[in-house]
Amino acid sequence: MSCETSTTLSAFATGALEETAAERVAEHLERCVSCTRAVDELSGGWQELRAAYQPLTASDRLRSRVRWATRVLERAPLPRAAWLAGAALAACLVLVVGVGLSQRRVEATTLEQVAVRAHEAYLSGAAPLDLRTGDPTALAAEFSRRLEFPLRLPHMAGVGLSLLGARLIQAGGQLAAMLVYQQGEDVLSLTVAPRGAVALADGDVERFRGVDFHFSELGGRHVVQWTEGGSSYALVSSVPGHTRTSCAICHSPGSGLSNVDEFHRPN
Amino acid sequence: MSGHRNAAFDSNVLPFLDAAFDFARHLTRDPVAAEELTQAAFAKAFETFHQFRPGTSARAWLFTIVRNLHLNSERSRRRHLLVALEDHDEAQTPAEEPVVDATPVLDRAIARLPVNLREAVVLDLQGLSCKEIGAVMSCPAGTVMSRLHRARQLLRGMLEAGGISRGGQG
Repeated sequence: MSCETSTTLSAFATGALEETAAERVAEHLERCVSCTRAVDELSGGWQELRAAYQPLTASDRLRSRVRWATRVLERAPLPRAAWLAGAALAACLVLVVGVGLSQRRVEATTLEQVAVRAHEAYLSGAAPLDLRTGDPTALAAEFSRRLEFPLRLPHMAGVGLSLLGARLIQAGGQLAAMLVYQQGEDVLSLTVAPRGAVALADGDVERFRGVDFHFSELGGRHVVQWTEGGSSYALVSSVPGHTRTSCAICHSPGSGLSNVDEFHRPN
Repeated sequence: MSGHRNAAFDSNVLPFLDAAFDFARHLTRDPVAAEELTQAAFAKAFETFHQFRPGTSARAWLFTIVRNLHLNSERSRRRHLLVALEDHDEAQTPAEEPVVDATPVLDRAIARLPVNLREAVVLDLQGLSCKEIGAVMSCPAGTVMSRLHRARQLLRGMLEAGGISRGGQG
């Protein structure tokens, strides 16, 4: 292919060429140093800017998180059936087309927002679990190495909730954990953050055995938040209803969990 | 997963952690979200590393994962109408994105580009070829070139309007 005319290159450089012609020129540029140089000159010194560009660097914290996550995955390969189910769910979710909203992302300022975002990110497939396991003891041990607070996992045996795994997330600049459970066809998540890392959203408050439970709804998800000991919790689900109905997620009849004290057991 | 595969992942993919974070930062325009996206991308890359074809660009492969996860996240965010959250906090959000690196003026100008131009220009700045950028963005190389030139025009205008010379950094 012979070289392009200066007029064509100029039109290409300014983005004025039609698609087909632009692709033809682009193919030529892949092989032609002189035309590429000419286009660069017409583009106005882009190479200088490129040379001066300084990419952002990952923080030591992120570097550590990535290494930790890959090592955890290495030790705990995903059960195939669970992965396929999760992938199918994510695929179904991403097919749904939403309406146009603001593209701006704002910082989550409440535990409710942190938890719902993490929940949605998991469901969309954008934020896979760092560790997939149904063993709460193993999960607590693994995550406690990374978190700066002791992770106390809810004791869910016998209440129809299957632990799928967990993911490290950020809450108010501190590391937190999002635990994911399956209950029938529903997926629930429990975010556990250091006490005070982010504020609890107000919602409707009910006091039970000295603990204030905040019930709210965000983005179609039902959220229950509370603080106990050194940790704050946010349970996110699609279970409709309010207050007592939400409590029934874990404290269902026959669960053997009659009060909050039994609900949390130290590992 | 074998130790051999782990070593291959470490040598082929981990070196692009900074590059992936840089791309994620420009996609999300949010440092916290960028860290989450980067971590998710590496977890995904690790899980699907058996699909990576040796001899191809690990960087382009990783960027494709970063971009796809970001697109999924954005779709989910819109679908669940977190508009109440967004509207509530809108008034508290500073007008300018926080500047976190050593090239603040260029960074800020890039952040103002439409997303398809922003993606192309960041990948180009990171040194990917048009063919590689096209693979990441699922479009022909010609389209990439057109977007790059449009992006360069816009950037030049923004930088000159800000009193910045072509190669200068503010």
